[in-house]
Amino acid sequence: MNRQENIKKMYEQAKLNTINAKDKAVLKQMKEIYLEESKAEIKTTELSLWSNIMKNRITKFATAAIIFAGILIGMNYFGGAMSSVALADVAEKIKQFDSLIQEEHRIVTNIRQDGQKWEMDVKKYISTKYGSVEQQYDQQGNIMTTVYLLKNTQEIITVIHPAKQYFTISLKNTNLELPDFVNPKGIVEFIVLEQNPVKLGTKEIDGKKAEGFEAVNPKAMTELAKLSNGMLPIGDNKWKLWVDVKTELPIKIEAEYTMTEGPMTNFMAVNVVSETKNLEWGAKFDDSIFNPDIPDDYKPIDSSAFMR
Amino acid sequence: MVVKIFKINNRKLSFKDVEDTYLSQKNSLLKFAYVLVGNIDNAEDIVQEVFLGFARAAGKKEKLSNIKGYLITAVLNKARNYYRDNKKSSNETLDCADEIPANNKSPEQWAILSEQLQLLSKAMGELPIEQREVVSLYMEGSLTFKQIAQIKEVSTSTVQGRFRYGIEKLQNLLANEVTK
Repeated sequence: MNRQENIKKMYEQAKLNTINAKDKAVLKQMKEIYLEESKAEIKTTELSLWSNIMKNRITKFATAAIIFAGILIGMNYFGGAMSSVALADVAEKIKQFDSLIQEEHRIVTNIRQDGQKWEMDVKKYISTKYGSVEQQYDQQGNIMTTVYLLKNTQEIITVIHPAKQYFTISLKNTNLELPDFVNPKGIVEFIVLEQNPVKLGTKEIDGKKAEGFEAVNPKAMTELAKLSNGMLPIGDNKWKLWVDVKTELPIKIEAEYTMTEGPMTNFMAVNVVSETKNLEWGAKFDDSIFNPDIPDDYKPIDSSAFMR
Repeated sequence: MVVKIFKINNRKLSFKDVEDTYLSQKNSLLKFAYVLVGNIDNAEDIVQEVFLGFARAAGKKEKLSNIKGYLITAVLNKARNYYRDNKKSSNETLDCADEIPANNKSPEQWAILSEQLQLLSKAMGELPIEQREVVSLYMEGSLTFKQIAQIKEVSTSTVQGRFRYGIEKLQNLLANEVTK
């Protein structure tokens, strides 16, 4: 063994340990700093988003449409895949239900900045009567955002938990209403757009035999992009719908789409990959979930400037 | 300065990532800082500051290079600040290195040192700072001379020279220890 190896060996063998209590104290301090900085970043991002929206002078209609469309983006895939004769029975079946709970894993990647990525788990409650509630969680299980689409008040309320802020977009006095396609019945109605889904064959999903259909750049998405007045610039998109052969109900949806720079993406070009599963058609849940739960210490973001 | 030689691994870190990094790197960073500055109290301060800075950067979702490289470089930079604040020229050795610290420290103590590490740190304190940095980077970071040269912004041959002299001196100072 040569000299340098001897010294290196001695260095490696020289022990140093730490005291647990001090480790805990340092970690506690690190966590406080980490959380503080994380909140600051979220706040900055939100402000930046609103600032950008204002600069672009979005009309009341367009603002509502964008947010509306953005929230719905995980659902309208049905439009692309169900218009074939083979899926007609599925569409009929869905009409029987007035509620749905679904879980989605969503990964958003910044196309132009290598490695910038957001990953979230989303749980969505949908009701024919009330609208929908979407809860977004980070990968540590912390709730980040809750989005309420409320049919009775025609409002979209977005609660940003880490920033302790929220904002409300009213659809009253606009050309928009929260249409029925935020619920299962509406999903079926949205199918009127003609598509030619590709059959993917069958495979087993969670122990169930499922048949798959794929729609690439379906007309529904093109219409959605148009509806957003160019503010939701959806690029190439691909949707896969997996239907339980036995129940004839969708059990899994895979989606991948790009969006070029726009307000909904804080003017970043992004790629979105999502997987929706654990669809509980006709699920029972407490209707009180549609009562916006906004803690007293949360501050409103004034959205009136965007609605003029 | 974020050293470019480390492989870029830009991803956002969760606090779990930060915590895991802390648990896996704290001992080696403390050891690295200790042999650099020769005083465990100052080494602890340096490493604590580095970890708090790391948590801040992770919270801000800053792009971090290879995490170990980031941490080692941060310790190195803070050690340099320590030399500067203590008005030590690059040719001076550490005054405090003459004293081997005892392990009966205050309740605030963080690190418990083995006798072998204390001896090694004392010997390292006999080296000029430039040699000490090169030897420490070699031992802790397992870096090549070329990589160390990039960090130090000197030529590879300069690094090799400093390393050779440093190791030679250490070998003499620790003649009895390294053969154990």
